[in-house]
Amino acid sequence: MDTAYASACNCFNPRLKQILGGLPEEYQCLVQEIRLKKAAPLVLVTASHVLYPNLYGQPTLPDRGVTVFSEEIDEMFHFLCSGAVYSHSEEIRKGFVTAKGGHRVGIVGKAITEKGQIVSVTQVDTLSLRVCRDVPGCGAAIVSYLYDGRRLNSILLASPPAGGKTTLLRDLARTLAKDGIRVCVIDEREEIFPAESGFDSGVLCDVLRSFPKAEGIRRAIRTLSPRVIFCDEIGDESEAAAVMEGFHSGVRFVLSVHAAQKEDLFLRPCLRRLFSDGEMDFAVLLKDRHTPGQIRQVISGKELRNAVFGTDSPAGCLYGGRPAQSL
Amino acid sequence: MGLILLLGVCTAAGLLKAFELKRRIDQLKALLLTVEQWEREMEFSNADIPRLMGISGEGKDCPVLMHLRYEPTDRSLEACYFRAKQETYKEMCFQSDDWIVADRFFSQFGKSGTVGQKDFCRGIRAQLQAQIEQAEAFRLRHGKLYAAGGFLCGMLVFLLLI
Repeated sequence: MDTAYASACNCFNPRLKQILGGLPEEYQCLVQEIRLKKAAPLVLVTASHVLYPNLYGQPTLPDRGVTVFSEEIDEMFHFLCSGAVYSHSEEIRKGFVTAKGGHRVGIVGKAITEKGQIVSVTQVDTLSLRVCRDVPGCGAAIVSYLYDGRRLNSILLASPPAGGKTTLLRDLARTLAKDGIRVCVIDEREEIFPAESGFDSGVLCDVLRSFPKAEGIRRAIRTLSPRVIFCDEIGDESEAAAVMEGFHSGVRFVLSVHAAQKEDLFLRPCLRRLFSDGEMDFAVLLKDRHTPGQIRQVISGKELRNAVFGTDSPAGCLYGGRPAQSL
Repeated sequence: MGLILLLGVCTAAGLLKAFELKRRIDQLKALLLTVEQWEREMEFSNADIPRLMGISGEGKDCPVLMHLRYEPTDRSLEACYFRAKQETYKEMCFQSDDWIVADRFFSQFGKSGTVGQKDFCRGIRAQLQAQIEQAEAFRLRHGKLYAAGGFLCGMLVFLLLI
């Protein structure tokens, strides 16, 4: 049985675990996502197919698939929270729980709001488990852009969801750490190197688990003196500001963002801010979920800057970056 | 000789019954202490259930708490608790009302956010406190009666048989 798939199956109750265990092995290693919805068939998502297993785990037609009971969702939700929903309040508020083994489980239910802010999610009716896989060596094609033996570069990995960004980040962090470079990983969602996952991070790799990204970056710079900081899914201005502080402190970054194509990178203000200073050396666009982890295009830092500010614009002409003459 | 033995047995039965009343109070107090500890841990260390179970093992006076443990096959606190209850039912001196409170606590603990849990624990603590007061009053009324009753009953049988 595929190890990552087997570990994901352990999150389910005995009935569903048995069904999932019956899935033919050639499919097991392809499963990216396991979806449970109340009173709906159990769904397995691969890069190219959606599978509906029957009672014996064999893929079948949607109307012959195994139906998930409402109680099973509730039971699994509490199990994922180690029986203590209160201890996962912050994650639940953000819409996910990280299961043992690093599998991220998205939670869909009714939001409880207070003064316009989501404080919790109740009446959970869908759970979507993303199978977390460690693929050592998958970042080999990108390492040359990141590190040429003398100079370290900053890289932005971009792809649509399920494009393999987190798996690449994990492998790149491990590769650099094993090459003797001090690395910090800000693992806000405990997906890159989850606790109890057994993923090898290397001796020189410090993993800051559950730290908010901006705070984690600042703390790492102040206390751990890393040469490279890894951060998954940069998404807002405060995180971009923390990255900029890191750039100005002489730290390099490997970041990931959601983006389907090159143009998407320039539409988001926080990314434009990152490109403005000319500190981002490469953006690596990955192919979509059908071919996770594969490079589609590599864009140089100069190209990124030009795309944002027009050809040959000096770095830092917007957003208060370094003035051109000081370059 | 047989009559003296009979007297001894009746006295012991009475004393045992009286001692059970005391043990019930001790067990309720141990449960209350566990609820307080869990509430505190929840608030300050965000501890999850397996860790909390380690703390409940310190409730030496309460066998059901001593037997709470997380097996690899367990998927909820409720399942662990009902297994522990089954294992220790005979050692426990709880009355049906005490079991209702304990069952409610272990079935519902951990199933909501921090605010909801604090309210829930407060309610459980109040119920346990009431049960302890009721158990103490009952012991005050009936404790000595049971102890003396056993002896007197034995003595009565002793005299009748003489």
